[in-house]
Amino acid sequence: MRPFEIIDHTADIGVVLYGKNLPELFVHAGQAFTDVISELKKIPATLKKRISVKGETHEELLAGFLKELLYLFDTEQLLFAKFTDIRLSDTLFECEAEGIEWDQEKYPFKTALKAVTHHMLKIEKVKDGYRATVIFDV
Amino acid sequence: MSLPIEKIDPYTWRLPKEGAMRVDGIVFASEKMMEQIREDMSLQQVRNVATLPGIVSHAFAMPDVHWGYGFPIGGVAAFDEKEGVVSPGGVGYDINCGVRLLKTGLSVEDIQSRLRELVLTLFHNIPTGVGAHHRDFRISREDQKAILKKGAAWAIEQGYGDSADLEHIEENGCITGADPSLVSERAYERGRNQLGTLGSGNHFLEIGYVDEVYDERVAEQLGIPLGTVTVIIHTGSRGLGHQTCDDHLETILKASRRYKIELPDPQLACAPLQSEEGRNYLAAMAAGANFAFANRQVITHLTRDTMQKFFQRSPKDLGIHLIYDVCHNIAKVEEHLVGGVSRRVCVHRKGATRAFPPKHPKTPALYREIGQPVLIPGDMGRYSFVLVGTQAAYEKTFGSTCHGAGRLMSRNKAKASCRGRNIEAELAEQGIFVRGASRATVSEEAPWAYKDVADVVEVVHQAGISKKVVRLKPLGVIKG
Repeated sequence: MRPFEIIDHTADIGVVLYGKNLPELFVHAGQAFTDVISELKKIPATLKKRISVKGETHEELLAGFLKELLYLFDTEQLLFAKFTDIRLSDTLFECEAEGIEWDQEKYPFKTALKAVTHHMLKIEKVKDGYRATVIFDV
Repeated sequence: MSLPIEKIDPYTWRLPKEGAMRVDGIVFASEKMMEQIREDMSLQQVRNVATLPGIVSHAFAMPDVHWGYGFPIGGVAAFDEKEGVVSPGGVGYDINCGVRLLKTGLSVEDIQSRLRELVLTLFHNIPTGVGAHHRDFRISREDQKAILKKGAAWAIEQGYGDSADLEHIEENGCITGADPSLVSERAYERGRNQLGTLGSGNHFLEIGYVDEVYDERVAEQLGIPLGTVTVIIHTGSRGLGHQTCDDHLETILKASRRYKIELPDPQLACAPLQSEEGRNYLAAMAAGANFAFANRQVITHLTRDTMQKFFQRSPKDLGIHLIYDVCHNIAKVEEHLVGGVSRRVCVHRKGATRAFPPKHPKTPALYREIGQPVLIPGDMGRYSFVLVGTQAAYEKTFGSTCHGAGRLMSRNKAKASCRGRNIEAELAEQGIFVRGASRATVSEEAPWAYKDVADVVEVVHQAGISKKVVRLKPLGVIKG
């Protein structure tokens, strides 16, 4: 099962995420976020940051996680390649994110994002696990 | 998708009221454009907007319409101040994304003889691209709050421009009623280093010149006759605005449920204008809008300063004057005549531009005889246009018109189409020097990824909702 794919969505960009289970879906979401902005495989894991998000549904947690990643990128240019020590309940998502402080001179750049939208945001159970689509405003 | 649609004239189409629609939809487009417009969901989105409470007259779509979140981009809708709603989706994430036009006293030869060097200097001095910020310019939280309250005036108080600039900015560069306390900590943090920065994506600064004139008298009165060298600045409220929209969208979505507003699409989340949530959104939106006005003012100052030093000319000699600055993502309470009666309505323009007529009190005094300037940027390889607002727009579309070209090709398709091609080199052969912060953005923004803005402008001109004045040809572009 591929972890994610990046899709076009009219003038914006989106990701379709897959995971055998929900924690894996969230890990793939974090990786997809990095791959939309830069190139995931070129981002090393040299610094660590604990991420914690609250919400009332898993969709809210997923959107909240991606919004946190966007906030960290926009304010501190942090970009992450690995996500470990996942804790996921109905109302809380936490992980240890490992990555770098992104620098345009050192790492590739693909697309800048303005926001994580709720358009088409739904986590679905599929044959081999879970799938979700998230569209970003560019 | 087959939706009922009636042709009114070669440039105007009606989506008749049916089902939950409270008013008709009106689309401004040519026959050829309609074939394309029908391919995405934008017409259905126009119909959805027409279902919202308190909508007045029609739900409009301009010829650059394309699919957006809830409201289409290139959409205009006005809601009664007392009975109607306000919707963040009717403004967009990039609050007060807008366009500013400067004129200069330089000649085309002045620019062409040192084009590459000038563009690189501007690129160096104006932070462009992701994470780019000023290293020697810090603003405090108190400064940020003052910016959100005062808009462009704050920048001028700090020495970034002249008070004469204010009259040449929509709303004099400040939307009143802004409340900085309704902007979240996250939004402040995202915007902390972003004042005076261009951003990325389709934002840019472009040096060009007037290469075609359609109305000589009006061009002279605007101060942009044939050959005038110009600068276009296209940017918005940056991360501060995007976060503000996001924060209030969550509140407004809950409010929609509480006020039992039926939504054909949850992204049309809205709240009554008279509700606390509605008022709070407008006050926060105004704050975001003021940040964008200040942003464009600071970038103008950086442009003036760079060009003065580069050309070693005095400000008077260089003659860089602000022609006008327009919003194209905004919601404002305005007074309009509806059925001959004056009404206060909240006009949402999402990817649409205000186009007020001659003699309107909000049209700057200098332009009162000719109408408010309307600035329509195209892609970086072709051209942009300057138009003026008309009485017809004021009567038909709440004084509104189009905003730009609209994308034809998705970002990935645009990038794929550029593989094996050197866009910068191709543009250089046409005499256009582009400096992008990244190859990826330049590819995404390749000229052929966009509709031809000349077609868009022709529709609004023929429909009478704005009048063509001049065309601007690009010479040098900086992009994020």
